[in-house]
Amino acid sequence: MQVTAIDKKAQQKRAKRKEQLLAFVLISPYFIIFVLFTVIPFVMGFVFSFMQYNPYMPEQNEFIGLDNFIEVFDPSDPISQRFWGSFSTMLAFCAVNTPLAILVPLGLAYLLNMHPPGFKIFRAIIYLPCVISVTINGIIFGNMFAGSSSGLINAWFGTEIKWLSGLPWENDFLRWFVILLANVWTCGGNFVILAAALRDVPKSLNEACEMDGGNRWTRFLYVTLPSIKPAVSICLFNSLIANLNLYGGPYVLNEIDNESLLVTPMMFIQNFLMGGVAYARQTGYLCAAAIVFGAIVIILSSIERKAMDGRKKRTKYTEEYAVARGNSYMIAKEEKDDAKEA
Amino acid sequence: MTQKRRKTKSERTRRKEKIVSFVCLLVISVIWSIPLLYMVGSSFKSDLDLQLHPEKLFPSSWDEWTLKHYAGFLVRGGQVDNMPIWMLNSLWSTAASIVVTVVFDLITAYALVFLKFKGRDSIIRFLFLWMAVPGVIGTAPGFVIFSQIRNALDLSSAGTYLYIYFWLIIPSGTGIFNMLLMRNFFRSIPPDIVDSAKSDGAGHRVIFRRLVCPLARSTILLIVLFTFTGSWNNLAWPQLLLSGESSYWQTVTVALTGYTGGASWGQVGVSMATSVFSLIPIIIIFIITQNKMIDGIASTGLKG
Repeated sequence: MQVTAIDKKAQQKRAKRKEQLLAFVLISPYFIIFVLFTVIPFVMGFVFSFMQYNPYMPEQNEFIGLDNFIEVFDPSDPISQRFWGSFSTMLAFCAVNTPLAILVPLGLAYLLNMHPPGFKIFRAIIYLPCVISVTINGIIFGNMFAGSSSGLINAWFGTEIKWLSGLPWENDFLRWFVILLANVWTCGGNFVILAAALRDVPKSLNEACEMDGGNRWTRFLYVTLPSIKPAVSICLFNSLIANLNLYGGPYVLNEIDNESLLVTPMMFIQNFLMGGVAYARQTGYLCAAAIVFGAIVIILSSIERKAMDGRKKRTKYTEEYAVARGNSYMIAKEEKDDAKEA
Repeated sequence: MTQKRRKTKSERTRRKEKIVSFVCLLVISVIWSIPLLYMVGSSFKSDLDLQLHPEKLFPSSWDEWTLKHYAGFLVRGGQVDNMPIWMLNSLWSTAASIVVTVVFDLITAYALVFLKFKGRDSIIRFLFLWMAVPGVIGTAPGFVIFSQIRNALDLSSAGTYLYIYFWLIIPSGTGIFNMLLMRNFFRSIPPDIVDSAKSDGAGHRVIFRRLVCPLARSTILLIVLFTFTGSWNNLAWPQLLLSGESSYWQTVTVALTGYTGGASWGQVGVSMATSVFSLIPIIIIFIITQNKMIDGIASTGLKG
């Protein structure tokens, strides 16, 4: 008996070890590639940011401490001026586009949720632009908004507006407007997520609110919006990240020379890297700029997360407050809950 | 008893709602499809028609329809033109990305869910944390490493091509979002099924091939779709890797940037025809799988 028990234990141990070995074999390809191509460049980014680094002249490389970061925050440095200039245009764009990227799809999803005949076809048409690449998006919108009279929009309205040739925020808002339109056109991802969230809002809640005399607007505000809040939060997060990392839209939609155009931080970084040898000695500076940019992205997205969470807490608070004051709407809501239970 | 019942108020409002939303959505869909119709229509217009009738979406009369713009980029001067080569570059690299992604995701998620080993939880926590890290920090060093190794290897022309595409394809296989999608699906498989298979004497290979993979078919399809659209439409990273190389090597999305910006907006017909041509694969995939795709995006979005 004793012997078999020990045997069993040893067997179990061997099986466990075998399982561990198998697990490491299975996960190692993924993690080796992940470390080599994602983690190591990330760490190198921090190392380079403290260096004067030039890949073509290794003998010049040296650690210079925080100098790169000081240069990034130095307002008199011409490159830093361009960097922060690109930042402000990007933030302004974000402030306009992120709300639009929620409101437009939300409106569309609300219409779709009434289930008109053929709603699947409508859904497919509105989602379709999402699978089209940003380059083709640029070709289409660029030709539609071409500055001469041969552009579709100019031909329709009989104008000769130079839509795409202005520098953003300097003499022309129109180019941002076109990029904005192109972005709204591709809001299908958010639209699909919001439509699915709206479908899952319990019908009984809506009906109960209707019985209590809530009109369409109150129903939307007090029943629909709270129920789809998680989906809205996700969409907001996704569009915020996408807008902060905006690169393709401004790159493909311009009528001036690509080289001279730096309108978002991503374009700033990309432009530097594609510059080859001429910009190579700025690699350390570029890494510092990328870290500053990345830090701001993290801060903004966590503010967004916090704000969405915070609102939940606040509304809970206001609900309690309202119940204490005997607010009529809250009583209606309790009744609604009763109705739901019944 | 069987007399026709008068419609209730809520039924009437619901009907009204349906009509109103139908009309609204119809108008919106028409507006939404204008850019695409414009693209398709302009690609069939002759150059003269493009000049004379820029306000029309389609050729102004039946005689004006032409395939000239399409003929131009398939074969030019007795040689295969760039366009089919760009398409092939995109197609094979996208297919390779899909294979790499699906294989990596399947085996890694299998190990993370069905095998017990030390450090499993910390790996998952690490992946979740890493999702919040902006990739932009690694872009510049990644590019430096890429070009340093390329200079050190001193490759032949074909070798350089393969090397660049290696850098395009392999890192795309480690997308965390797809991996966690697969893991979430594996976790939703009831453990009883796996246990009963084990008690029937099935090893891990049998469980993986005969049980888990068939169950995961819809998630695999979803990952294939995400990878397909993502890889086909990827602009920034391929543009960086392919900058300064032979134009034959470009993927279609990168190559078409030559038709945007500045002076090239004169040649509307050709650029539109090229766009239509490069959209063919993705539109075919979309038409076949649109319901699965849209539902998949909705559900992954909701789970967050």
